[in-house]
Amino acid sequence: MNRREMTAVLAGVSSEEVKAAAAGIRDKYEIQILKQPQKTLVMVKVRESVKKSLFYLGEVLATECMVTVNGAKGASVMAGDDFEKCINAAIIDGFMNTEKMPECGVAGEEREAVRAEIARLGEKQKKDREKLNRQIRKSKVNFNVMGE
Amino acid sequence: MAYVAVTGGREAIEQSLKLLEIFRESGEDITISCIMENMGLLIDKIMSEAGFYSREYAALALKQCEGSVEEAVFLLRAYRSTLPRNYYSNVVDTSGMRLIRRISAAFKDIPGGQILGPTYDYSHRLLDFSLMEKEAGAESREQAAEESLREEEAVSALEQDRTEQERTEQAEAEQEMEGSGEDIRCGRVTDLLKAEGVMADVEEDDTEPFDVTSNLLTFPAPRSARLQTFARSDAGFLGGVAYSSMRGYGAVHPTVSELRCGYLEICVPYVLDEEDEICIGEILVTEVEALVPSHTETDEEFDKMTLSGGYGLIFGRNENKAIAMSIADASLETTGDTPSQDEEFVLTHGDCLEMSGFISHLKLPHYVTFQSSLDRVRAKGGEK
Repeated sequence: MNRREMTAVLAGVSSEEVKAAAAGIRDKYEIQILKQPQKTLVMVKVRESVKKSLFYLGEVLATECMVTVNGAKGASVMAGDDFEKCINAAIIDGFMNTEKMPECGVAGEEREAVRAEIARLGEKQKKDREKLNRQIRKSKVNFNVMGE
Repeated sequence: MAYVAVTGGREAIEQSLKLLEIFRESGEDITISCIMENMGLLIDKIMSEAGFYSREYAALALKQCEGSVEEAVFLLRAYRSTLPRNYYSNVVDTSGMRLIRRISAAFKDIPGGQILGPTYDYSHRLLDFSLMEKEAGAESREQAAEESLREEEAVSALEQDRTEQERTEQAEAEQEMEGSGEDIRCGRVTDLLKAEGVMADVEEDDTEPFDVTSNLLTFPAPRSARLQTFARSDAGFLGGVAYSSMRGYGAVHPTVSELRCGYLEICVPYVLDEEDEICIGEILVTEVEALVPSHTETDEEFDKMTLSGGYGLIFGRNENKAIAMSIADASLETTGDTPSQDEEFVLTHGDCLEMSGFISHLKLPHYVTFQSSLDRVRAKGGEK
């Protein structure tokens, strides 16, 4: 699970679930906030499909922040204005970044446990969507042309 | 004539603002989440015209201004102007959209199939008076919840009596009946036409987009400016432009090759390693590709007939606006004297905030300018 996939899961689950995933890290390691959460705009750049050119669709409200976890930097940008969720996501990010910083003193198994928890949240998210996806698929239509 | 300011009226203005509060008061307060859950399409319209994606803030704006779309757009645009824009997303490829609806008016059979999804297209336009009965609605919801619980209990009892194999067979059969629960993603209809050579496939154009929110629009405008302006346009104005084109005041009456509605993942460069990216979440959008055969009048032109496209992409579930955008886009690729073919006309008169602001300013004091006009009329009368 790469960084994009992990952040996609965290963005899609509830604030409480991200908080729970980061709780163990908060309890055990030293957290410092380098950049307080603040609102920002993210301009969405899209490639249109007719002439394959780029254009700006509009802006999304987001929150950004930066922390350190035992000295390892972590950052988060999340759609919406949930400051707590953004901080917890940054903590998880910083925790994962300790992988390249052995001096932070974080065991690989701990990171694997957090990664597994995020994977579990991702599975749950997928499961939650399955019911609706089935309902949507049931609206697949097959029009018949009269006379054919 | 220069503008002349007026002064005074402070107390009356303060009282007017108090009256707004009084008029907004209601015996039954509506929550932001209630607006978000019940007025989804209205929220989509406001987000699209504000060019600002935040369901919650759009709902708040609606609550604050008694449901006025133009005031809500004004509030969101004003608020948005107070925020820094620290990120530009990585290029979003809409072909990876997680679909909730996808149809084609051009082809009956398309790979992946046509999925109607949530649509009013085939609904009876009859008022549903049962929605007026709040209690009845609540009761029916409770009833449905109870029934669902009973069903679950019955299923659970049956489950206990079944063998593992029976359970697996049952699950497979149900899945076959209901279809897969996987996310729905499909290729584009126009890819088929491009593969067939009926429609020209073009190279990717990586020219940095023009940003109409930061730069003054000049004409001829780059395509990126056109599309951004359309995406933010007032739905009614854009609909009018498209309608006029289809009715003959223009040259475009397209076929919708594909209309899709779904979620796009938005990613930004990771601030600690620009090579990497992070996903900030998903946004709901509607996308339209429209097909337009070239205009032909002679046999020679007919032999050289080509197929081109118009493009529409809008925040939220906003189908008519997305179709209208694709028509307006295609229309500006044609030449002629109609309003829909006049780039400056179309791009400078469709912004909700600008149009409502300019019309609204007429309510403010124009005493001196009007006196001047009146003096001239009186003088002309005196001359007679």
